[in-house]
Amino acid sequence: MASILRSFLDWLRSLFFKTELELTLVGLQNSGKTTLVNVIASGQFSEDMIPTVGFNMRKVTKGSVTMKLWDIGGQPRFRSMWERYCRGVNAIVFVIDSADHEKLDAARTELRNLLEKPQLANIPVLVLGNKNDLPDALPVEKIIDEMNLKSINNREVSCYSISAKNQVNIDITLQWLIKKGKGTK
Amino acid sequence: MDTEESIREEALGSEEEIGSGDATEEGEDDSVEESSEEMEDSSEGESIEEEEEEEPKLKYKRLDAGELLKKDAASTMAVSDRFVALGTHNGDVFILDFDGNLIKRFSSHTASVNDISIDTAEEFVASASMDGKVVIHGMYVDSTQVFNYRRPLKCVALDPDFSKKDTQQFVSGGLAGQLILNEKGWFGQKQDKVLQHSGEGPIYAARWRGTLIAYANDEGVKMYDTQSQQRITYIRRPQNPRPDLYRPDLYRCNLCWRNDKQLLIGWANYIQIATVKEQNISGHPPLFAEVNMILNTDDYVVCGVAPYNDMTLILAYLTNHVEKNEDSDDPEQHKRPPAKRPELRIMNPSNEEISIDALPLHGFMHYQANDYVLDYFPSEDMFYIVSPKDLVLARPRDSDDHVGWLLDRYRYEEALDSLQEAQAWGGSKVYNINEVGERYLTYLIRQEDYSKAAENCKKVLKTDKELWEKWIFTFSELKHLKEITPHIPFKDPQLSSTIYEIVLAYFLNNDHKSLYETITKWPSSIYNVQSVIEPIEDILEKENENKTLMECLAELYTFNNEPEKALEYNLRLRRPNAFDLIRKYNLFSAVQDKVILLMDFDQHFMEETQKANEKKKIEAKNMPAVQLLIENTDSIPIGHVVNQLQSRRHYLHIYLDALFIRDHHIGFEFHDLQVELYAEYDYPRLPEFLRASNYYSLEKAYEICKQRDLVPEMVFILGRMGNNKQALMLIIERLGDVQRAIDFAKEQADDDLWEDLLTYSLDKPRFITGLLENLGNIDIDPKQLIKRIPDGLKIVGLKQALIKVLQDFNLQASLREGCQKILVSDSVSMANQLHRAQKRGISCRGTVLRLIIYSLYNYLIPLI
Repeated sequence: MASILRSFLDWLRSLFFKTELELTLVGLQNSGKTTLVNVIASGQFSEDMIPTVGFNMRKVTKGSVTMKLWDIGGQPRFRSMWERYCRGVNAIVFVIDSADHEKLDAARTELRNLLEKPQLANIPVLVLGNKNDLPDALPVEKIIDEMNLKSINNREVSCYSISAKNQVNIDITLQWLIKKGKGTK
Repeated sequence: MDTEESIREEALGSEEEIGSGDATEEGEDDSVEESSEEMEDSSEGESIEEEEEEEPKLKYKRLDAGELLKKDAASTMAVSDRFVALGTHNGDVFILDFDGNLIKRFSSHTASVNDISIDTAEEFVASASMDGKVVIHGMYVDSTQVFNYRRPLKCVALDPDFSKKDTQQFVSGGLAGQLILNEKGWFGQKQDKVLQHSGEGPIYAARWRGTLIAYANDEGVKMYDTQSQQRITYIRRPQNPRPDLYRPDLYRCNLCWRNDKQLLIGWANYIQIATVKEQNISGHPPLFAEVNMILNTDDYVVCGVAPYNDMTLILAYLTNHVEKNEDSDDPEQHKRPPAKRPELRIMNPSNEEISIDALPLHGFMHYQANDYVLDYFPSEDMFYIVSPKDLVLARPRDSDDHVGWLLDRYRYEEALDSLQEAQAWGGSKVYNINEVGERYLTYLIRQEDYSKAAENCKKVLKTDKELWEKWIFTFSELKHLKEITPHIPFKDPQLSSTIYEIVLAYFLNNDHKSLYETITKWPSSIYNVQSVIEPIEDILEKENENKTLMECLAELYTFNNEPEKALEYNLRLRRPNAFDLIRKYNLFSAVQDKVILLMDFDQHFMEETQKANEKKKIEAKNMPAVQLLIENTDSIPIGHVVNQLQSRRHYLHIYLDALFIRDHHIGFEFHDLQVELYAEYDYPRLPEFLRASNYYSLEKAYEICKQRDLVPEMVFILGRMGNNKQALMLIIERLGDVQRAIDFAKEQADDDLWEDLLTYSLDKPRFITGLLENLGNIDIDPKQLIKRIPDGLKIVGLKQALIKVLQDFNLQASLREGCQKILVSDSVSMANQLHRAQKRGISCRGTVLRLIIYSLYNYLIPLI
């Protein structure tokens, strides 16, 4: 009987509060996408990750929000697939290793290439400067400059500096993402 | 079932046997790119056989799933929006991304996976296997649900909304012949519901779209509506003429929903298209399906159907065993000949095959129709073809592929056109239009089609200054600047002046005509005119009469704002516009030293005109140069002209003559000279000149005439000098012209002259006759003349002359008499008239009378 009641309540709650959103995480290899997904999903940081081949799919429920996360491999051979996996999602999360200054150029190019795609018009983008726990990590203003984010004017763009390791700013990232979900439903 | 098993085993077995041979055969294709190219080539090779040079509709890429399929063999496949699920004979389900990278692996079956179904949210993957199980895996969550139906399963279909609905419905079916709908009941427990009872053979396929489930068994294809919970349609299998050949259990039934309403059925030797329609008849289900089309495929077996826009894509397995079976009583025992490559055919809505590509999949010769699976990626035209050892992606060729194809065939122009079109959509990412253009040019040049290459330069290089310069250098090195020159831009972009100078220098050394054309075509501002002039001058020094070069210089000097020099060449070239130039730039001072040139020009021009128009007489003095000179005597002093023309006396004459006609007084100082010139060049007009001019020196003129023995002019000059006697002598002695002598004497009205004339005439009978004949008109006493005729002088026509004299006088006498008579009678009649008038009375009245009376009174009063 209790199970019936619970499922009934779940059903009721799902009627009113449940939001589901789909996100795609892209970014160059070793920027911490999979780690970030793990942190969001489990709240735990694990240091050594093997590079993602293809993609990972995760579903995370935070309160009444269910997030489907597509974590796409960042190695060059996967980058051509990014666009396909970004289609129709609620938001694109572009993760950068903010301590790896040499790759910023490539990251900027890849982001620009991705956003040029007509199929991805108007999808909001969240740029995350990950690894801000490292000593020479760029501050958020620098990232905005370096990534030339101000020039993107056809969609909503936000940028946070986060650390998946120390769980810095993960909360505001989640808030931003959840808002996207609510905005669409 | 046994048969099928054995077939597959045989296929697999043979695959293993020739596995090594296969590897060596195509061992090189390590990279995906290479092998895909190889595939493309061979498929093109195939199509070329059928249709000459038709571009394929699709392109193929072999996915790198080789590792997975090395030990295993693919048995089925399903494609969703974001991944590909591959089922194998070992019972594994691989989740791959679009490039064939392994994402997940589910090993839940112990036998071949026969069907895979993915829900639309892509959260669950269901697989049905020969082991009798349906396993549903969660993609996001680690959940595995196993349903064991115990009999081998052929198909499974998840409710498209499986993840959204709590009922979690799916259908499965297999050799048991039942189609079973499984759902979660009210209390969370799973329950089965049989939609199709056994008795009509195994269930071969099931596909769920929206609320409709389409499934196939021996009888045909049926449709179940989950909303109305009833079977709505039964699409019977078409009558099969060869039931032994196309057994439904040997050839998989392929069901594919084109959209929510249309179902494609491809089964063995036929293709059907069925459309679901609504109906509103009580007692009947609300929906029914109607077969729109049945197509029998005679030469192949359908192993996959998929919609492609409004067309249909068919994976065709060529049947070559038909004849063999006829020969043999027991086909199953007969050794099967090697299979042909499977073909991907595109059929347009009117059922015409518009494209056929043969796919050289690994080991194709050992496979049967059921070994191939075709599925497609719903939101984009991507088609996956799987064979036991191969996974191939077919895609419509995009514009880049089109360009590549054209380029491979050296059809650069079309490639450029399509790239140009692509430019509107943001341009091609693969091909750089400029690069392709340059390749085209290189190609044309290699073909030695320089003029075509040059023509295309503009299209290719557009406004890219650097490219233009580069290519002009290329042409220059090849010594084919002539071809490109007409196409070289001089604005947008304007190239560096060096380029233009190089071109001009090239022409100077090779082709003067082109040099001139180029100079006239190009604006002078784009190159350094001075640096072009100098070498031309150098060459012209050597080739003095090179007209083309002079023309060039004329133009160049005009550009360089040196009209004097330009004029010189224009005159040397005898160009009419020289005079415009002179007037325009007020170049009189420049030409004043070039009078001979001017006159030369006139001469030339006159000859030309004369040639052109033979009838018309053209006078040298009306020619433009002369006119110019005489019109502008202010700027070009006459003396100056004359000095220059001293050596060319004819020109001098023309000039002075024209000048004289224009104004008798203006060139007075040269009239002496002119006398001579007239005498020499235009004698008929000399008298006129002599008469009209007052400026020449008579003595000199006389001398000139005397030298030339121009008697009439001498006479005239003597007459002017007052030396009448000598003049008369000349007339008489040299001309012997009586009339002229008489006229001369008459003109001078000098009695002495008459006397002289008489004296000189006496010994000349002709003169006497002339005089006698003219006696009536001149006032010489005839008696005196006659008296002075010496005796014995024979005068021809004397009698006549005398008669004439007498007649003249008679006539005069009678005239005078007549005149006298008229005078007298006139006087008489006038006197009478006067007399009559005086005698006549006058009627007076009124004021006139009063006036008369008043006058009389006034007149009379003093008398009184």
